[in-house]
Amino acid sequence: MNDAPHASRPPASRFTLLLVAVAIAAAAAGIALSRWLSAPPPLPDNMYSTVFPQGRETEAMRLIDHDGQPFTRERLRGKWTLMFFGFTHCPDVCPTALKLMQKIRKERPQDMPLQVVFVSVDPRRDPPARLRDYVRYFDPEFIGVTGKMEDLITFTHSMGVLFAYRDTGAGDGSYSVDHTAQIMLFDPDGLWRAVFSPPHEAARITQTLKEIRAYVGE
Amino acid sequence: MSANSPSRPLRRSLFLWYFLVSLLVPAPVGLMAAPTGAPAQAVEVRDAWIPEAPPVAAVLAAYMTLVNHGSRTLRLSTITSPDFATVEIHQTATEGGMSRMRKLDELVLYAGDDVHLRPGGIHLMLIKPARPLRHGDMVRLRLQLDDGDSLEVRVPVRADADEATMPHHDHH
Repeated sequence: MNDAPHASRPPASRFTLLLVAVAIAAAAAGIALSRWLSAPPPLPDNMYSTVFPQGRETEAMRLIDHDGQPFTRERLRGKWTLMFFGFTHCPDVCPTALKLMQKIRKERPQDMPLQVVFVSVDPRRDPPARLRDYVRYFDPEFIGVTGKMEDLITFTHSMGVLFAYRDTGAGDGSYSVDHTAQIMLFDPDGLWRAVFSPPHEAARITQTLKEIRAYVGE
Repeated sequence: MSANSPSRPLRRSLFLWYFLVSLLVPAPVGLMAAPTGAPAQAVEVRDAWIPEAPPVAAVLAAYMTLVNHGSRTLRLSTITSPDFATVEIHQTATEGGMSRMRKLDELVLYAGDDVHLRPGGIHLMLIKPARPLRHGDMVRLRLQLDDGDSLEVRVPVRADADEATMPHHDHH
């Protein structure tokens, strides 16, 4: 009598086994498909930007903003930041870059919080008040930042941003500043995320920003 | 009246003829700086503009195209303006990610050639404005050439133009 249940079991378990196997296969296929479908967008791949897969720390940002308030990494959190380095006695490159960044701010997706920071590497001629008047002309939301020379050097050099003064030879102490023309991007964690290399074009930087945001998922 | 000079009616008709022809010559497209010198000059200034700058700016830039219609190479080294303490010729170059700006002693204008002053390249550096300059203001510049000729141009300050919207003359 013990055999009766045994006798009826084998076909049933074979069927169950088959069902289980089909279910597992289906589940695996489903998982694979959903992974494939929801694969993170790739890193932007173009010849004018370098995007880091992970955000990078820089040396401490111990700077001051155009209102004389401390400007540290905390000020970068919760939004994307474009950062350019220059000086206000710069008639050509810096105004062109600031107009470009104003254009990017205007053309970016409106749900993407983006601040623009202009770091003056010429603190002697660019005290905060002057810097404020200068950057706000281009966009009232722009933030002018500068700092003590040693703090500027520490921060900029950790990103490979260079600057050097050059006497114009006029004999009146006037000088020009050679400076890195790259635009740096910081992510909403306040980490350094990308480098845009000149020549800059607003449309392609805006496009790359969208791609980086999709990649980072913020 | 000497014997070999044209008769009075002839001179008058020549004058009238010149006058009529001058009316027919169309203004070059995009010409914004009007040379005020009466005699025909070898050097023409085209598409001149000054980007409006923050009122606090101590230096501005002027961009233009200089065309040497003559048959001689000319040099431009002295520029003055009643609106600025000093005007210099500068060149910006951005290479290897670095921007550098250097003063040029002169611009060489080869016969039949154009020299383009534009953002990110050669520009006139206008130092210490004498008055605040806003969109629509006109700035007078005097370009002294090495042949003794000088050009007086009036250059508009513009807030609505940038590199992307200004005409380029790369194709020649």
